[in-house]
Amino acid sequence: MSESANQAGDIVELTSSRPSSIPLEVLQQTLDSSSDVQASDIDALALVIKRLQQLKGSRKDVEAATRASALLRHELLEQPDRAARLVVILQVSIDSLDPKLYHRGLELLQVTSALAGDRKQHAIAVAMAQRVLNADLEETLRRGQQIKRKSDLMIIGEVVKVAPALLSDEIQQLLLDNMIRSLKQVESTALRTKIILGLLSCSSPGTNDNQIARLQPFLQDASDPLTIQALSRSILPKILNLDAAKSTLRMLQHPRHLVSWLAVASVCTYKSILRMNGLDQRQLRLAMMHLDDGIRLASFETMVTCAAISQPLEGYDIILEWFGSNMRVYNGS
Amino acid sequence: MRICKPRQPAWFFLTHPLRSFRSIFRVLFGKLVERIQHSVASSRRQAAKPPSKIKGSDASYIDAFERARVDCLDYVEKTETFVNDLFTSVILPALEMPRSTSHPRVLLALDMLQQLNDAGYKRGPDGILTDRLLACLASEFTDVRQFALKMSVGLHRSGCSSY
Repeated sequence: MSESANQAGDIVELTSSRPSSIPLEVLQQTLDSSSDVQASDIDALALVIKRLQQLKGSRKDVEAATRASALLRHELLEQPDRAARLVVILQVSIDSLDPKLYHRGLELLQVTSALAGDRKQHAIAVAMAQRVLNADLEETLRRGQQIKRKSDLMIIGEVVKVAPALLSDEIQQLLLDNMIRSLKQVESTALRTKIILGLLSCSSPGTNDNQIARLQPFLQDASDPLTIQALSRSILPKILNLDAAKSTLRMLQHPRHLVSWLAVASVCTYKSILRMNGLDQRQLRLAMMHLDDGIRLASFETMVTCAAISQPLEGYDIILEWFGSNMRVYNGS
Repeated sequence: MRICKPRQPAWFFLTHPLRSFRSIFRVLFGKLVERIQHSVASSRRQAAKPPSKIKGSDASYIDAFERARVDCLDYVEKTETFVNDLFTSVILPALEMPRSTSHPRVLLALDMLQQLNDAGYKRGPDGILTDRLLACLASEFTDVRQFALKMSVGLHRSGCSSY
């Protein structure tokens, strides 16, 4: 073991100084000898795998990389407290896998996600998505139609988001069906909303309304301020009707949720769902007098914006008040 | 003894995002002026429209028509009051004392004045406005001076000969 550890240490040094100078045989030997992998070897193994990837090696190299990944996986299970670093290393190993080893990658991903939490999982999902995109996209997506795990859902969500133009309508529709069915598996509201937003942002205009109607129940569940902020103004008007708008505005009464409240109020006035006099004047005044420039401007925008430009504009008093509070003359006393 | 001046709720003294604030504000104010212009024109058209000859004998129709006409005229009047209020209680006070502390505010006010002027809402020959513009022309800031000069020339060309 000590010999292999030394070798791994040498490899690390070599790779950092002259990465392309390591011969393939040395790499193979290192992989073969490091059957009992230790924490110090993991970095070295990751570098080896990266080097193998650079070499665009033969099938033999791929096998070696897979073997190294298995070792890493073993190490990962043994030492869950070092998950964050290992996740990064695993990304390298997943990258080095052959596209045919997609399921193997998924397995690794699942092990990692059990240890690393949502953020890291997301990072890996992006890496996987890019990897999958370089491979056979259609095939991957067809395989992804049978969504069994949360990780599958995330990866497909990322693929859909990364390459919307590559998807045919048929595949997109099938995927959507499966994803909506599988969305219940995702417990985290924020994560679920993220996936939905990915779907909505890539959907074609023809199917948009249908999709939105089907996704609406999930979005109504997720009416927390962060989600409202995440929903862009292009999506919010589509899902907001009078009842939803009223309940959402009521829910966002706290001054802490002022930005979200303004976003919804702005959409409401823009869509003429609610008139300006129908908005909560206390919240509006809070926004008008806020220390933050952006919030003050947003409140002004809410007052000014309306769908039909020829409609009589109401709330002159409030607009004058806005000017009064924002353009106060400072006389120095 | 108070060493620092009390913190003002006005944002002119916060130098950090002023440039972007001003540009966004300009767009929003442009929207406001455009809306006012369109809605007033539409209300005037509506008020000038004669009642339908076919439904002319229907008393309820005539009532509703008259009410709508009065509403339109009310709206036009209210808007004119609003624009006047903008001039007297927002723009003119903001043009006061174009010194270093009021620099951004003066620029905003000049901008608003120009947009209203472009939209056809002209302030007639007015001693206060002339004084304020003259004060701006003597400002210590080049941009304020240039803007004020541009405004004065524009107002002169548009027929307000006292500028």
